[in-house]
Amino acid sequence: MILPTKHLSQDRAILTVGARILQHLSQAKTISSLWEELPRNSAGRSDAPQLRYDAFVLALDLLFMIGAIEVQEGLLTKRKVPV
Amino acid sequence: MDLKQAYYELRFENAFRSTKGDAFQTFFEKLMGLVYKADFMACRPWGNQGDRKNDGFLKSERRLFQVYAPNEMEAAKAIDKITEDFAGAMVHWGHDFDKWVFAHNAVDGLPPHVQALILKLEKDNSGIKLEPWGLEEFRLIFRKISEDDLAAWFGPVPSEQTKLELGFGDLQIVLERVADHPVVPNQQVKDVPMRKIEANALSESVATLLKAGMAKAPLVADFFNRWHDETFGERVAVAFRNKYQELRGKSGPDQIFSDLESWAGGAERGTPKHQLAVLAVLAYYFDSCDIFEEPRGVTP
Repeated sequence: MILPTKHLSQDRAILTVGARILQHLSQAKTISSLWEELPRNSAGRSDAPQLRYDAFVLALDLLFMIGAIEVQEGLLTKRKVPV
Repeated sequence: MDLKQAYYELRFENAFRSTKGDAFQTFFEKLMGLVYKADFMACRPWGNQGDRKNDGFLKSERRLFQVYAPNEMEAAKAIDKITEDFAGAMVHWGHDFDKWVFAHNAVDGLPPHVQALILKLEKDNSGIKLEPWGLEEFRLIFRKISEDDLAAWFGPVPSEQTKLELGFGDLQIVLERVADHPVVPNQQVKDVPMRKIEANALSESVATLLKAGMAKAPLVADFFNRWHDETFGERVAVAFRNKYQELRGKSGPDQIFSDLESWAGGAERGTPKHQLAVLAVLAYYFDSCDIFEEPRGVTP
């Protein structure tokens, strides 16, 4: 369920949810505030199913495992990639 | 071929192929009785006198039937059967029939020695025509059955009106039923689209049924997309694929389709709406290549 498949739309793939999370991490946030701020539906798709909290957590796990985010003193931030 | 005809012909063909022995004789008598009513006289064994080599008689056509449907057609046994039964029929009913039918369910055709014997007996018995009847001959008979009798025999058929009435709830029930089947973890589901019915040697009847289901197949995709569990569509796909793999090689393509239909829809025959929901699910997974083979030359 990380990548979209024939039976899992791109909007609901964990990788896509992770990308949406990164878009909302322009500054350090707590997990709860990030969850509150994150739109529950995909952009332009009011009929799409709402994002579930467990999918949100799975997306955070993925982002953490690939080194895209880090946690510092209870706050989530994007990890800076050296140029 | 319209949806109704396709639906019933597929059921007829599956029943024809899967019934053997005494069950086939019962099937034959039901078919002939529904079409010809009192003109067809079924003949049951009577005590120690047997059936006197008569499994049924079509009075108006002076046609006598001998039914033979073993589990496996063997040339030697078939030859003995024809020789004995034809001779017996001539003794007991020789003045009553002009046509003697050897009714069999060997869908792949009769062995050459059997065909030769039938030709020889016809040559040796002037005035008597010998006819081997198989699936295609009985299919023509089947097409004469009235709609009421078809519905009584095989149940109601999904109609064009049913297609319009199919709703989300119907699919949900079918899908949940399918999802309850155990699946093998970590099994890959092919990603290659498979659209050609011909590549799987599926009949026109199945093609028509799939076409009917295809009209509502987008509802299936929509269902998966809305369902709270985003992995549901994949899990059902794996369940379908496992079932298809289990059935593949055991029977012909149409029988596999029918088995998948029964498996997805449950053992008991449902309402036409339910049947069409099942067809919609089958069409969805047929289109997504999770069931049946992709045609040669299609690259992933």
